[in-house]
Amino acid sequence: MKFPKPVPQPDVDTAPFWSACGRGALIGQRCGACGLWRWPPRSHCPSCHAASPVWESLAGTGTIVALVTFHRAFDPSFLDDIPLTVIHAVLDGTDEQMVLQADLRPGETGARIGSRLRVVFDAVNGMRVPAFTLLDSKGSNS
Amino acid sequence: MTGAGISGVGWTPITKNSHRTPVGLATDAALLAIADAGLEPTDIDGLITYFWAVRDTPGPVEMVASLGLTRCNLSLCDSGGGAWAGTSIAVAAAAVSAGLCRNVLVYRAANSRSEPVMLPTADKWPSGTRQWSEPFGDSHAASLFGPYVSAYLDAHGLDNSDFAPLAVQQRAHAVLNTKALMRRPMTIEEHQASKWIVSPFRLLDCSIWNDGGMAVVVSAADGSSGAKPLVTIRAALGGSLAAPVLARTRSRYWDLNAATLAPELYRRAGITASDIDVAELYDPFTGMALLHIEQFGLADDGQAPAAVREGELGLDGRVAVNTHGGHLSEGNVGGLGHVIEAVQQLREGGVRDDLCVGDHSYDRSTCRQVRDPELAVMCGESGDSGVVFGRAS
Repeated sequence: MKFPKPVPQPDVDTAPFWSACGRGALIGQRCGACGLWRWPPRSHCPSCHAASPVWESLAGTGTIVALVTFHRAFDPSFLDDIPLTVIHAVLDGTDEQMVLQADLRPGETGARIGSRLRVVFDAVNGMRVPAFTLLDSKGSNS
Repeated sequence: MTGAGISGVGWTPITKNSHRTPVGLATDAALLAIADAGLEPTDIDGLITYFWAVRDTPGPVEMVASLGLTRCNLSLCDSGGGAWAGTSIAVAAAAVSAGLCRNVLVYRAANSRSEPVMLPTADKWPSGTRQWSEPFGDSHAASLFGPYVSAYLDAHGLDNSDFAPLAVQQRAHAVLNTKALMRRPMTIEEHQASKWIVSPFRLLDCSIWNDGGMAVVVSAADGSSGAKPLVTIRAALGGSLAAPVLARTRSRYWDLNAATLAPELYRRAGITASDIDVAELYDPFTGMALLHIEQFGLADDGQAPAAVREGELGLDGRVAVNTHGGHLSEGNVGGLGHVIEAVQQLREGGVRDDLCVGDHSYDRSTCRQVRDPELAVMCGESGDSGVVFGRAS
């Protein structure tokens, strides 16, 4: 039996991000008043408290700052992806403030802290969600 | 000083299947704690409990009915999980110090092993903060906290083998704890041969799941409550700063709320880390306990594994850590086991459930009592909450 993967449910604050993913683009959010990057997306700047978020296109590259590897699937919909590495990627062009948690493409090995990444998008039940591929190791498709 | 103390502690057996209802477990633990305090159930006028994600512990209304309380001036049932073990004590201490209550029962009971709750992650439509975790397979505490531990390991050139001494030491402590669920001694080799679950964690790096109930009575320290405190609460704090998907700067990516809370906690208690004799620090995973040890100032950066290996954090070390075995080996009742152990180590007569017959022998084949401790610290998950306890004068 094939289990469906969880599908993110966009809300008013996050819809632009998921919509951009659908177009194959990675975007980030910063404050329209003071310019501070923030993540996850939300209405107010945590520093100046202006409620004027703006979205900017990102290069889609970044660096691993933290990671775990699942050796068993707690969610059966990820069974075929085991071992699955979940990374925290600090994204280029965000003053090191936007750290996106996402999966490394299943089957890629050798990920470590400091590894360079490029975003890809995987189709999940009608949506596209970001994942990452290693830029500088054998087996990546960059 | 908070003007409050803990006057009684109680616990049920920690098992894989209690064959009891949670309210039955909570009531057993509560009656033992109330009797330990020399009180009657109707002396309790405040109830605090907590849970994670889905309420599994009996709500205050159930406990009012079960204990037959005739007044309840404060009841609280919050969702902070193990982070709230110390928060519950802080709120109880504030309530008795302010005169809102005389004796507050802090309790938690659940059949976490025999009747595991269905987490909201079981739905396939994650919204809110869950839209940033579950679509990526992150639906487990190991992937919530593991990344920060991985950053810590990388920065200090450590790896999973550096977790083994702590797992082995806590098991050795649990061998001396008759209520502990896991009492067969563990070796370094067994730790290293245990299977990977979510790296950087192997099976023997993970806390255990069990049924059980625990309770403590928090009372005014001046005796006005009718109870004599077993220990004083020197300081208590509880509030969260951390969020797993919050953007952080890349330096010290492994810093938890503990790094902020601990200095403030010590300042309020009028102590420094070097004054601490006993530390009962939340241990969902070995690696998280190591972060707590360092961020509570009990070892230098990156040096907690070496400190454990050298015996500095054992029963006869400079500060004794997780003397009951912790969640890794005693069992998991959301951090109340850490509170109870801190109280036991400091109370007159000391620990009651080790293997000593009569006075404490300090023979580590039977005795887990630390020698003459004056101060103990406990913390909840990530150091979101913490308490400093002092020996009652």
